[in-house]
Amino acid sequence: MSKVLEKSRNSCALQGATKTILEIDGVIPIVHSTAGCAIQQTIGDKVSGYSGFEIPSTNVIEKQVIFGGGSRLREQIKNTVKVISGDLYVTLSGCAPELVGDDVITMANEAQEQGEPVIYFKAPGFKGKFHLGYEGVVNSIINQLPTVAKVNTEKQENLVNIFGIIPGQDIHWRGNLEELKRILEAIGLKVNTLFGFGQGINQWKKIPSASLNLVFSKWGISIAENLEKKYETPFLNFKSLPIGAEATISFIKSISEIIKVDEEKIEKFISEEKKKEEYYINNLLNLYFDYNFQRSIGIIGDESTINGVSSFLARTFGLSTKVRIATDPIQDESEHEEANLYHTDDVNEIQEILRDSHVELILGSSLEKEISEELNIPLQVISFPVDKVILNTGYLGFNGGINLLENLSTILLNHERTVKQRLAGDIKSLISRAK
Amino acid sequence: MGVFDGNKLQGREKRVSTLSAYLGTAHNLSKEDEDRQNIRTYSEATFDEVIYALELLGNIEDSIIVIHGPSGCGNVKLHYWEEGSKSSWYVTNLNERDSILGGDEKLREAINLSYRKHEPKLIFVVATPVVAINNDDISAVVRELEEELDTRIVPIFTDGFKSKTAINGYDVVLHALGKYLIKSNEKDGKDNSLNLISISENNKDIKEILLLLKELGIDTNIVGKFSTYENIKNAPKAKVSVALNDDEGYFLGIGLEESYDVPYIKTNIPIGINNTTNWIKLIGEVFDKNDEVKKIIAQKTLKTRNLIDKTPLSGLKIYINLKASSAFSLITLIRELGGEVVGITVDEIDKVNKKKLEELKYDLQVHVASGQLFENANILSKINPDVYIGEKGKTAWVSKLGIIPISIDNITLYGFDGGKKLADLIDKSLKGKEFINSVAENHKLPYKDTWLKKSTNWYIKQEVK
Repeated sequence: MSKVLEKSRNSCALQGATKTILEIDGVIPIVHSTAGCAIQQTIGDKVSGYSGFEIPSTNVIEKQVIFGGGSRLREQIKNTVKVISGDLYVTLSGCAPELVGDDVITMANEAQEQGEPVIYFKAPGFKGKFHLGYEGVVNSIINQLPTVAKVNTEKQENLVNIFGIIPGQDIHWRGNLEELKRILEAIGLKVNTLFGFGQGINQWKKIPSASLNLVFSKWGISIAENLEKKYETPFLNFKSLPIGAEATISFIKSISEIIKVDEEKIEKFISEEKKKEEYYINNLLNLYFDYNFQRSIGIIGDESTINGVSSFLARTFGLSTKVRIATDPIQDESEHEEANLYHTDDVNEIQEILRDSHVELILGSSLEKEISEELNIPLQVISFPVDKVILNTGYLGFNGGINLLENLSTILLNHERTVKQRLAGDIKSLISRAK
Repeated sequence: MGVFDGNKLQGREKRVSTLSAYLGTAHNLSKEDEDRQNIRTYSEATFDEVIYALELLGNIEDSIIVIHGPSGCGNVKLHYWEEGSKSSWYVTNLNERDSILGGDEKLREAINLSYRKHEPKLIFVVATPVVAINNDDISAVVRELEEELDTRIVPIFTDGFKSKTAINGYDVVLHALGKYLIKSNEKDGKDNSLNLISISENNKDIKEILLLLKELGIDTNIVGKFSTYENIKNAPKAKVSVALNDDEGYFLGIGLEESYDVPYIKTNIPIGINNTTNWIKLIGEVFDKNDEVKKIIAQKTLKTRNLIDKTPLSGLKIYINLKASSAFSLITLIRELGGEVVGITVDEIDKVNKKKLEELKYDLQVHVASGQLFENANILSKINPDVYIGEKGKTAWVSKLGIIPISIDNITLYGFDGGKKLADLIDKSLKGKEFINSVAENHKLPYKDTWLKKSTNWYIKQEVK
């Protein structure tokens, strides 16, 4: 069922696929849709190497909607490979061409036959949301890359791939991937983060040679299953982001059960990182108790993020979550019900849940600003959409936990100070009235 | 048939011969056959009419937008919301089943939900490619619910593919405002106000012009961005209308003139001293404020003379990529400041703005394109200007060619002080040129050298009808 939504935050499959591709170095999307489709996503994407206006796009017009846009796509593909340099081109078809029935597959195959690295993914927005675009296009590249390039299938014992952290949808994706890389390299592994800094087609070619796939949200499961079937690569599904020392240590331990790593090296690394977290928590103690950080939380965002954040804050920082609202789509209707866990991406419903649950702190997206102001409680933005500039700050891992506490403490401190100022104002007006 | 009649508006190409792909001299373009249409056989993503309609509607007060389509069609609203558009929006969130069987029920539900929660004065229902292809009957739902609910519901028929230019989206919105909201009985009781039609101007520019009008003592009724339902309804009462950007606002201006006898004054955008002077003179005359105008001009020229004498842009080769009317007005300002405009890219050229081409240097290179950075890259690598002035999202990349980017969306260009602000920004950028040089050294454009060496209009072809 797809419901009417107020202030929808999950965009569509085409936009998810486009963003996913743009974050792989040297991979170029060719959008086959009406002119605005690519811009609808990129215009709000403030931290990106792309503005969106350089994305190849057929910009289909009425004629192509009536008579079909196949030949328009053919000439667009042919000319894209002449104008833009890329290692791989991915044709993405949007709503209008999919309704009309343009043969995207044949057009991509034609270019392939001429030796051009062109593949496709059908991504009409009416089929699903941003997350589906990520999942679908990653699977498409994995499935079709071997037809246009030589992939490396020879197993490499200490190489792992990372899936389920969606560029853009996870607002800390860059920092999260960088921290994962740091941690896994520290225990002697090699890592394909596949997106962001230094990740291009060469890393994607090595996907089959990994000896383990790590999955951090439900949006990476079908990808890992696909790779298990194709290349017999096992995978670990963490369901949520490991945030802070406790979760990260158990994450590292579960890997070490599958891949042989130097136990001594791991122990040393872990104990150092754990001490670091304790050191920083010690630095926050005065703030924490003087400003009464103990509050009940309402948390909103993609499932794997909210689960990671809420369990970290509960176990490490003594803050209990009253209500969790997962905003990513439900994959299958029978998804288990949990206490105090809601699934919705309708802002009105989210606001009503928060109003009813008497929370004292909201961790959500910038769309929750309205309700946080209405309830006069602080808001920390941890999920999409976002109103701040984030480069490589992450919330994942050892450093991520510290970053999260740093941001959270700033917000709580500022909130309390604002309250104090407002009270001062109230007092002054009481005094003057008394005169 | 009147401007505001008709159920659905034809595409801008059919109405005013809009051309969206061209390369040539100003002179040749001004003489170009009006029936000619060009297309691109390679193109890059750009705005479409749905986005422009959402942008404008989101700036009309006390309104809610219901986007009838898949959820991605409303994604741009997240951006406009962060940028300050405070109206809420709903999306009918059409899925595959709806795309086949229709989504009328969801549209009804969305309108009902939005009404119950916000009780807005206006609900705009925006069509998208999926419903245009499926022929969902928006009008029937709108008619039915307008009888039930105590609000005005206005259908906006944006298909997303009817026109090659996004500006068509403004026309579709203005047509709907004229057709559904402006009624003839409001004509009675004319007042002495000015309809100021603002569409895409940034807030700084609008404020600048409002301050000028206030100084002149002219009662302003704003229509478009920042307008309320009352403003829109009162438009027929005004003495005259003027659009800040004629390309964007002419449709409403002409409509008000034809249907309600409110004369529409065509003006150049008030960028630069000359254009601003002419602008307030024109308006001052209509409102009998000649003395006040003289006073302001005398004051301002005194202040700006110093700047002009310094010719702060002398020796600089400048390229402009803006909406047509902004580009034309900016050329005058650049000349006032001593700079040389070596070429321009404009979104579209049509009957509305074509005459202004004749005022340009006859051999100035004019490139018609919205976005299409690949053609811009090709031009820039041939012309190699010092400074490139453009819009948000279409400008920063030129730094990778070592050219100074000046993005105008967040500066004041309108009015008498625009020149100073522009000159200051260029001056500061020149002082920070080392940063731009290092960007150029470390980053490459995605375009192949073989493309940059080809002729710029390689992928522009005449459309076969």
